[in-house]
Parts: sequence; structure tokens; C-alpha cells
Amino acid sequence: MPYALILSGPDNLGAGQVASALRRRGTPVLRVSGEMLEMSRWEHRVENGLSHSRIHLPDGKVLDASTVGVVLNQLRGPTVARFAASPERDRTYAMVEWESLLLAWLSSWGSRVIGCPSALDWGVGPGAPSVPLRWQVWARHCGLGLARSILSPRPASATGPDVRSTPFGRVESWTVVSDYVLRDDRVVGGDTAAALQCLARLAEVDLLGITLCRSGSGDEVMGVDLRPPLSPRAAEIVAGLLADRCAEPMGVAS
Amino acid sequence: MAAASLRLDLSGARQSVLRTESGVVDLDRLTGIYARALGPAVPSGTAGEVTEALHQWLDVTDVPVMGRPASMFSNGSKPHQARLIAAAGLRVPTTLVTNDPSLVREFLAEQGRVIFKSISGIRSIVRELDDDALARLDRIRALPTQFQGRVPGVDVRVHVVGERVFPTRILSSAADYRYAARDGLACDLEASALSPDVEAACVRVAADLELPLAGVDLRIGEDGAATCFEVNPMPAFSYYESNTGQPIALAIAEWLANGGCAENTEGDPADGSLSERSEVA
Repeated sequence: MPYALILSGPDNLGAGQVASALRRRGTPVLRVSGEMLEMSRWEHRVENGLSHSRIHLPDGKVLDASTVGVVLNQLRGPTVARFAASPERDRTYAMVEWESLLLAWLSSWGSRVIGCPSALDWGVGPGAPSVPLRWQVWARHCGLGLARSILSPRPASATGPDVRSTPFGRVESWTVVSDYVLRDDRVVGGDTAAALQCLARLAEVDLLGITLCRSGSGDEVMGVDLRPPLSPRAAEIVAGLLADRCAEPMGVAS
Repeated sequence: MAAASLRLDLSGARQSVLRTESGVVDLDRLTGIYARALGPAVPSGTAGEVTEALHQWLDVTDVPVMGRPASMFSNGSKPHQARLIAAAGLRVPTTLVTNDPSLVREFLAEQGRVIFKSISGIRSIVRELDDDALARLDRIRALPTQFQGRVPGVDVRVHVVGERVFPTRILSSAADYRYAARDGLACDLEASALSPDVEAACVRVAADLELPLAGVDLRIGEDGAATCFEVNPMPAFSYYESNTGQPIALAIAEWLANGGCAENTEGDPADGSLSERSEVA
């Protein structure tokens, strides 16, 4: 049976919980960090318009279409650790080249990868100062309020997983996993769930983290994360999604 | 963009306005926008905020745009884009991206002649993998590099403007004709023509990549087969126009003036069109 490949840093607790949940379901798991990927021997080919990859990890394991069934990508980008002492220009070049290779590799897996890099990554994530206009437009379409201005700074607490009050209103973090909407490990229904599912569908993503600011004037999307930290409950649901896809018949290289 | 302010109307009232030192632009009433987001780095302060907001607006407005920032994404990874190009029906070169010198030597033995270049959209000079390069091959252990089987034939840059195509034939013996002069080699450009199926494939790949303006880099073999190396989402068409007289700029102007023939102007929110209001000043 092929591996469910989890790409994450070693300190990513949610990714560890996904791995445990997958193992309980009988799905073999391989966790690989960005640093390990960059220390591996890479072979990515495009032949007759189809992509094939084979990656030899430092420990001797091989990642290819016969060994990997599904991928959860929680990496936020290359580490370029080998270039730590290099001039800034070389480090930047290495960073962009690795990003490009990772995109080519991950995008060739199609729907078997959750968290593939895309143009939607631009301007989102925990460090983003505001919500990109595209997400605001989608939020509005889904019945969520618009942030006050696309340049309004997010409250610092908006990046955290907890719920607290701010001068802007009450900030809450939500996770959408396919058809599930979770908050504080509880599956939440109602209008908010429908709106958040609508947002994930418009973005065509399986996994989405959203920070809402709830005030008297309604819910406003204050932050978006395409690789959100996963709570135990979210990790369980992501593991189910991965296990289902891992069990699907393997297609040809794309 | 100095001393600029921007009001983005997302309410559907179509009252977005950009004010600069040189005038006021009623953004929502434009028939088309040509955006070439190159040049100096985005400035800091208000001008930077306005520039950033304008870039974001270009991705969501229902005004036809040539050069939406999001449409640049595919060109950020050449092997990723190659898969999309092939899906549109154009042949792409046999490619190996690796950090293993032994695989490169095997690839060279299979292909006969091989070139190498960057994986990303960062411009790099395409070079042939010759003895000098082979002597330095161990360097790739630090960073994977892209190698391609050398495709014999004549280079043709095809500018696609909507559904119109402008093929320019490039006559040069340089591995990368853009740098022919640097290598002391000649480079001559002339207007050309394509077979109907290649022409249709160029229009299709540009449409699939959501590029109303695209620079499609082809090499045409002796048998007439076209291999596509890359689709440039922001082509420097003026170089080709000035050398051939092809009316590319006119075609672009007509596309912009006519409201873009292939653009959705219905404002479907699923496409990210505007529906509220936001201000930056």
C-alpha cells in the first residue's frame, strides 16, 4: 500500500496528529521535512508532456508514483538551509528555484495533494498584513462581511487559534476541511458553516483556515491560511480525507 | 505612483477611481487595461499601498485586463507550465530536473545534445551542456537544475493577442537568441506564418493559461512539428515589432479598445469580480 506523504516541519503538531490518525486507519505514513526534501536526490522528468518524479530521501526511501498515494503539504516554502551562509542573491535564487521545483512536483499529483502551492497563496498566511481583495470578494459573495479596508491591519491576535475580544470585535479561527467546518474542535453548522464552505468551494481548496472578526455589523474575514494549523479534530478529518484518496486507484502520471 | 490615491468601489456602482499627479482615472469605465507590472520595486508608504491595492484589483475587476498578476503564476515554474502547455496540445521538450550528475550524463547520452536553464521564471541564459559545463556538473548537487534535450529547428516567437497570432521567425545559431550579440552571433527576425493547427494550439494555450497577451516560444523542426519551450505572460513584443513591422501594438490597442473579445464581463462573483467598496489613500 502506498504511503500518505506528509510534508511538514518536525514541530508541526497537527501534522503529527494527522500521521497518528492515518496509522490508526492502517494507512502507512511518511513524514518528510522541507530540509530533508532539499537534501534528497531529485529526478523530475517531463516526457511526452507527462511528469514523472523520483526522489531518493537521505534515509534511502524513495518517493514516486508507486510509493506515494496522497500528499498533505503543510510546508510554507523551501528552507534553503544549505544556502544559509551564501550571499543574499544566491539564497534568493535558490529559494525561487526550489519553489518552482516543488510546484512542478506537487502540481503533477493533481487532486492527490492537499495544499498544493497556487496563485491563491499570494498575500495569505499567518504573516499577511491584510486579506487579499480576491478573498474579500469571495467572502462577500458567500455572505460574509468585507474587512473595513483591504489595507486595514489585522489585529495581532488574529493569527492565533483561540477566540478573544479585540477592539475590532470578537476574533475566531475556523478550519474548513472539505465539507466540514470546525471551531475549537467542534463541528459547527448553521449559516457560518455554509458561508465558510462556500468560500472554500470558490477557492477550490480542500483545506482552509479562516479568521473571522465577529461584531455587531456581522462577520468579517480577517485572515486566510491555506496551510492552517490543525486541531486534533481537524487532523482526524484531514486523515480521513487522505486515507480515502490514498485508497483510490492510482492514475497515470499527469 | 507618487502622491496617488485609490478608491475601489466593490458595490457594483462602478465608481473606482485612481488619482495621481497626472490625472484622475475612472477605473471601472475603462474598456481595457494593459498591465505590465515590471520596473522598480514596489515603493513603501502610501504609494506602495496604492500599487499593491491596484495589483490586487487587477485580479478581480471585470474590466478586461492584459496581464492580470495571478495569470503570471504558471510561468513561475517552467516544468509546471510545460505540463499545462502539453495539455493544450503543444509538444514540449524532454526535460530532466535533477541534482544528480550521473542522471545528467545518462540524459546527455540519450538525447545527444542537451541545454540547461533555470527552473523558475528567473531569466537565465540558456546554455548547451558542453565540455566546459560538464566539468562543472558537480555544482548541481547543491541545487537541482533543469536540462532539456536540444530540439533542432528554427525559433519562432508567436505573440498571441486575443485570437490573433503574430509569428516571428528568428534566425540565429545561438542557443539563446536573446543573448546572441553577447556571444558574437547574429540574430535576424522576420515575420512568418504557422500551420493552422499550430496557430490554433497557440491560441488555445494562451486561453488555457488565461493570457489575452502571450509570447509563445516555439521551435519548428524540419518536419514542421512545433515544440513549445515556454509561454511568456508578459512578452516584450516591441522588440519583435520594431524588427519586423508586425502590428502587435495595434492589435493590443484594438483588444483594449474593444473591451477584450474573450473576457467575461458579466461580473460572476465566482470569478472574483467586485461587489463592495474599499479605499486607499
